[in-house]
This record gives sequence, C-alpha cells and structure tokens, in this order.
Amino acid sequence: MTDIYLGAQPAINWEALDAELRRALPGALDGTTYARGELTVHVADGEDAAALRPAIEAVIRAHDPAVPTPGQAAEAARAEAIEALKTADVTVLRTGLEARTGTVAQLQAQVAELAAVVEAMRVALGLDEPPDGRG
Amino acid sequence: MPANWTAPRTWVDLKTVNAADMNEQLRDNLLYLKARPVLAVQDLDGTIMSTSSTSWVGVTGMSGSITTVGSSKLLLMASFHWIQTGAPSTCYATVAIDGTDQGHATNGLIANSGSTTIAVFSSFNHVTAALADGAHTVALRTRVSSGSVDFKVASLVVMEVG
Repeated sequence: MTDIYLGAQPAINWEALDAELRRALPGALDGTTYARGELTVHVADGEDAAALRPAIEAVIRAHDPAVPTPGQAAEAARAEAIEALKTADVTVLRTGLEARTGTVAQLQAQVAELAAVVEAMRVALGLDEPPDGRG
Repeated sequence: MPANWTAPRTWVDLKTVNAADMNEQLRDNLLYLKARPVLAVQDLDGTIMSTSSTSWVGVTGMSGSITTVGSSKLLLMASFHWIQTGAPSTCYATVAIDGTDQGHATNGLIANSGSTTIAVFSSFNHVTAALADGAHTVALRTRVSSGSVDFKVASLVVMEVG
C-alpha cells in the first residue's frame, strides 16, 4: 500500500468523498483516512500511486461537500421525521376523529395527517428507506 | 532518578562486595525496576480520525518509542471508543512494533463486527515476544473490511516486562 498525503482538506464531506474516489478508481484504492482535517489516500499494492494522483486530485476538485451520501440522506430524513413527531399534535387529531362531528372532507384531512405521523414514525425508526420526496 | 539495568551477577564464595557492586547490582537495578520504561499516549479530544482503509493504517497520534534492555517483552494495553459505519463490516485494531503488526494477520489483536452502525468501547492487552535491546517504535493501527471506522478517543500504554 502506498499513501498519498493530500494535506489539509477542511471543507470536504469525507464519507461522500471517500465513496466518490472509490467509484472513480474502482479497485485501485484501499481507502482513505481523514484526521484533523487532513486527507490521506491509500493506494492498493500494485497500483501506480504517482499516475493515480492527478485523477484523485480531479475527484477532490469536483467534490461538492453539500451532496450527502445515501446514508447521510437517510439519517437526515430520520432526524427530520423525529422532529416532526415531536411537534405533531396527535391529541387534536384523535379528538377530532372521536368527535364524529366533522365533515367527510375534514375527516379525510385528519386521516391524512395521521398517515403522515405514522410515516414519520416509520422513518424515525429506520424501518425502511423513505420514498422519494418524503421524509 | 534514572538508572541503567545491569544483568544480575551470580555471586560466588569469597567474592568481596564493595560499594560499586552494591550500587550497580542493588541500587541501580532496583531504581530501574521502580521506574521501568513506559510509553503512554492518549487522545481524549473526541475526534481522532476516520478511515476506510482495508489495509493497516496508523491511528493518528497514537504512537511513540520505548527502549528495552535484557531481551524484555512489552505489555501492550490499548483502549478506544470507535464507531463502525457502513455495516455489515468488521473493524480491526492492532499494535505495530517496529512496523510489525502483532497478533493475527487478518484480525490483529481485536476485531469487531456489526450488522448496523455501532459505537463500541473496545480494549485489548497483549504481551509481545522477547525483543532485542534498544529503542522500539510502537503504533496503534486499524483497518476495516468495508465501510469505515471513526476513532473518537484512544489510549495506548506500553510497559516493559521481564
């Protein structure tokens, strides 16, 4: 294994950049290490580290730290769902459903809100990945 | 007070014991045993490093040097808090003495597997084989089978033992 030290990289999303480097150079890397804001790329045995360096630097230049990995996106969705659960007024929903005085339209709206709460619970518990556009 | 270790003498009849003998054989050796070499490094800041390396890499800052005499062994004691992500995967740790990793070639001195992201406090103890006299580099190392591992805090203590 040969290490390529790339110095201070304080503004990266390391988990995402690690995945981007592996995608760009499949099989050529043993991985990366990020310590105190400094990045090191570990080149696999048998690979030409010097020849790979320009491609590695190009991936770093193209890296957008604002783009999350699927795992980070799922974690953010879970955090958002937990927050939604904290603020959901289920007492009002339950009271409205039990009163049996609302119109069908009102009942549909309350059922929809309850469904949203259940969906938030599912995401918060990590039972499954949320569908696109939902969290 | 620092002192040097001198191999204990085999005493024979009619040997005249003088002050130099006593100072060398008793005073200095006892002082050496009282303050025998120890290496202690730790990082408690909370974020040491993250790595996805499948080959052994050093844990940042967790290394040093210790000098042994008398073909001594080293007692290695390491403890750390690490978070394993990208499961299912296994993260490993070992200590390298002069660049040679201790323990199992694949597993090192500890291996931790998980089917989900897990935060674990781990530790291991290990006694090396007898080492040649002199200075030795000691380094905590890690690797993963896949995914990554975050080292949060770590402590490494190395002592010379007989």
